[in-house]
Amino acid sequence: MLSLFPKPDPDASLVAAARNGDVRAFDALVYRYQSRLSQFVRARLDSAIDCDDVTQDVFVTAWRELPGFRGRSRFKTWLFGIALNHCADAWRKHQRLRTILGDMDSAHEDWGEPDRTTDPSGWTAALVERAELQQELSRLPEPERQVLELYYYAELNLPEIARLLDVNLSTLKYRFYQAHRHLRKSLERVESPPTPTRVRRASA
Amino acid sequence: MTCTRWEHNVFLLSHGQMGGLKRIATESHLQTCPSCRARWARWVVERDSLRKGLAPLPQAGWEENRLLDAVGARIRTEVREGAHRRAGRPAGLGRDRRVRVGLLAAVCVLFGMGISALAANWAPLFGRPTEYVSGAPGHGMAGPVGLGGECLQMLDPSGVTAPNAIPGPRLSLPRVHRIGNGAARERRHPAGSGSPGGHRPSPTGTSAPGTGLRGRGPCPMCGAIPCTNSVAQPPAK
Repeated sequence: MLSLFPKPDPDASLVAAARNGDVRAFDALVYRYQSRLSQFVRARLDSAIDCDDVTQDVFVTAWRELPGFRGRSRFKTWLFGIALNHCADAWRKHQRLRTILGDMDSAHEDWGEPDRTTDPSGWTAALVERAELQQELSRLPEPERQVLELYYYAELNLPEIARLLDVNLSTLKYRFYQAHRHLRKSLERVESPPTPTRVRRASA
Repeated sequence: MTCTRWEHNVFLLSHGQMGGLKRIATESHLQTCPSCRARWARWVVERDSLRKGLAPLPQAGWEENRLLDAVGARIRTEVREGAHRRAGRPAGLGRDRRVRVGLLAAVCVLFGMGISALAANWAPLFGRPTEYVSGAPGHGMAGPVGLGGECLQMLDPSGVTAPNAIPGPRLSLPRVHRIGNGAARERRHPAGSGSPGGHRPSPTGTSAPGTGLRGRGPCPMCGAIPCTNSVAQPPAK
């Protein structure tokens, strides 16, 4: 819900203490956001990149830059803004290495798909669904994907995302809508595997 | 507005990202339009399943502690480094403020330099015969003096302005007594006029044109015999 008077930051007291050098207060902030942040970083980055390192770097940067945080946004928004920048840096670094060393990730493609039908509990199936969802999400165009990741992983609202990405709110709302439509279409395609006629048409 | 055009608003409403009049209008439309209500319900279901599907998985205790410990260890190192860094700079000055203070200081220095340059250029404007001025310590001097013939000691050594001082801006210039050139004095201050500027003619009558008072008697300004601060003035043209 949008309102004229934004809610006060629930982390304000911890942030104030951490800004004054209270390490325990910052530990509490790390504990509060580590799960979401590592999930967000993992979603944004390739599996070949060490996401834990990036997550650690995000928190350490936040600690270092905390005296400069003026509280114009929520701490969470600020933290995920740092994470976005770190992910972009890590991605660029990874791409550079990939260019130099060659693609090492394609080696496991020859090993074949693991057999998931032997799982008696539904745990694996849930994970598979989750993985499929994340995979479809990662196939979206970058701007749409970015919005959805910030919305679902970081749980930021649209005005916050607009401010973070420096995008007009109306533009962002439309992008958000389009992202959902595209995601719905791709998930429908996954749920209903292509029939032989559709395959024939596609191959023709 | 057709129902297709409501779709975007219905979607935003399902995510709670709409406020104000638009929200009221969309809600009232939903009350009257079953197809839009069905769309809204579908978006809500999808939103919930996406939230559920993309929510962070519960982490094992050791995994949580691993990240927390690693970050904590690095942060504690940062604290020590930060303390060293902070020791070298004044407390409470952030980077932005330091830059601003630096800029302000630079502007002040430039302004001061400009003022000094202007002050140096003012002398010809006031007609000061700087070529006759010789520096001598111990006497205050103030104000521009037009033609020669007046003592430039406007301030006595105690710092009090002399009663016959010429009002004007005070400049930091070499301090001298410039006495002499009676013709010039006469031209500027006719006898008995009681002009407010400059000293009256010396009662000893020793100020011969072009000679000044050097070596002839006590200086009417400082009383020294001879007055080492007085300089000869050129003859009036």
